[in-house]
Amino acid sequence: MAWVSRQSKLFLIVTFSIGIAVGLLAAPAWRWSLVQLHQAEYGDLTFKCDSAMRAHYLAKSQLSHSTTQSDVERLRQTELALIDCQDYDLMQKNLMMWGLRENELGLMRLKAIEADADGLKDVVESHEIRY
Amino acid sequence: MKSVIKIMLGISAYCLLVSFSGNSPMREEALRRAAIQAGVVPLEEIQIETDPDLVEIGAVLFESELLSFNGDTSCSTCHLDEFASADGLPNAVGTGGHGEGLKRLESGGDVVPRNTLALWGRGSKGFDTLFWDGKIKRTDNGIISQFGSSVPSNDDPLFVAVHLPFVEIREMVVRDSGVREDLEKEDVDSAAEIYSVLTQRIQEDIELGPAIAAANEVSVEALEFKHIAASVAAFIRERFSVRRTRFHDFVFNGGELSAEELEGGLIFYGKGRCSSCHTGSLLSDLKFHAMPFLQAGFGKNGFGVDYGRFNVTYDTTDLYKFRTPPLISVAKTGPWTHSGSMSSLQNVIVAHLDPLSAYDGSGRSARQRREDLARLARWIDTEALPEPLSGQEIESVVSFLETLNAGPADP
Repeated sequence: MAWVSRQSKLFLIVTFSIGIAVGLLAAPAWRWSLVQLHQAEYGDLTFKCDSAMRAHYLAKSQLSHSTTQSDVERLRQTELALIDCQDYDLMQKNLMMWGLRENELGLMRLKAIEADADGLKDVVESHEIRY
Repeated sequence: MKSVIKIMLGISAYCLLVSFSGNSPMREEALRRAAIQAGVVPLEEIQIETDPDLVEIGAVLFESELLSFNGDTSCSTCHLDEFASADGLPNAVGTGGHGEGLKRLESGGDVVPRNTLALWGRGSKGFDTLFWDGKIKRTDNGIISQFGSSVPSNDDPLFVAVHLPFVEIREMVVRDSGVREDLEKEDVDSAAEIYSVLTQRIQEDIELGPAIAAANEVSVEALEFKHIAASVAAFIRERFSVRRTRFHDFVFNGGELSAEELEGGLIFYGKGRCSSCHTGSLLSDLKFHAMPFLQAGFGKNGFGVDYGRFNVTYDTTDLYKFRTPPLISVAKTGPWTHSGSMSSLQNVIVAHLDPLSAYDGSGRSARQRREDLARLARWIDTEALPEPLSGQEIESVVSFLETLNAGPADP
């Protein structure tokens, strides 16, 4: 009987320990899996939104100097292109809904920059303080 | 446990995919507004009425080899229904050719060093500039053409354009020992002589002569070439009028586009900047632009060179510029570009955005590379560079272009 009681206690301890471990590790493992699954697509949208914002900024700057029909048309086109940022925002919100936090999203953005960088120079430009 | 995780990951991937793909009212409205701002109007607003009698006899003339001075071609030799009014060849094959499509290319006929243009919308309101180099162009001061002050009309560019193929060497005139040297000049006097011969031929035809005369309300004896041209022009204007496309239905009549077609349209009018030149209801600004397309064939200027609009204006700022082609039924009228050098729409789009991606100069001569560089330099110098597009985005644009196929007025 004492032997049975020891076995039961051991079983309870082991089960409890496994439960704690799973509880501690399951959430990070889930988030890690989401990151791996959606990194490529999120990275692609990050790049597209960045390109769209740059193009729009340049078009607005151009229009402040010159108001030809071509300049006006270019601004309209770049405004429409900002829909890429809408797609980026939607995906980001959905990823957060499924459990990713700003930390993980930031990690995904950094990986996207690194994937698109030609070298350390691009990484530096993303991080350096500018005056 | 592993299978539970896999299932949940699969569900999350599906939900993420579904949640921001597909159409939304905002995107559809954005595309409609962009199209209208870029000049797309209901197609009924660009139609011009035609005389049914002229259209009927014009259809016969369009098919008739009688109008080939000394050859065996007709209008329909190079403007075939099978190829949506083009001919499916990079450069046209005119006199001396036999068959259609690849068979015609292999038959050894005379090569016309430009890609055959489709005829969709050529007789529409506002279609004022015809041919790759705009050699027929209506301005505020009348129509500018090779005819100079002898231009057949100062109002109707299509009517003037129809006069040209009948007098062009290699198109409907064979350069052989029977063709006098002065007829090879392709000037106004030689054209008048050819028109006179063709008109007499029609007058002597016991069926065509009276039919054309009746349609034009003149006697057979009073027939002139302008009556023949008017009949052909009426047929082209009617037969190839653009009365309906899925895209115009979407913009004005509540028609639907697939998610891919919608995305392609948003790229076309947005970051692709296609609408910088492809504007209006027929998706052409009818202006001249230099594009870095490879030259296929001998070229209008010989030895793989085609100076485009410069051949008409002799203005060096027009070197390598060609008129923006309208995009109605573009998906059916390959191969593409002024010399038919592109065999897929995907390649055409890539050439607009990233011409160096597929360029391999190692197999080209120094002269060819020099010309390639000159076209590229002209493009960079005169056009705004578009944003790069992914392969999937290019496919979306191609899907969008397929919504521009001309359909019957009644679906």
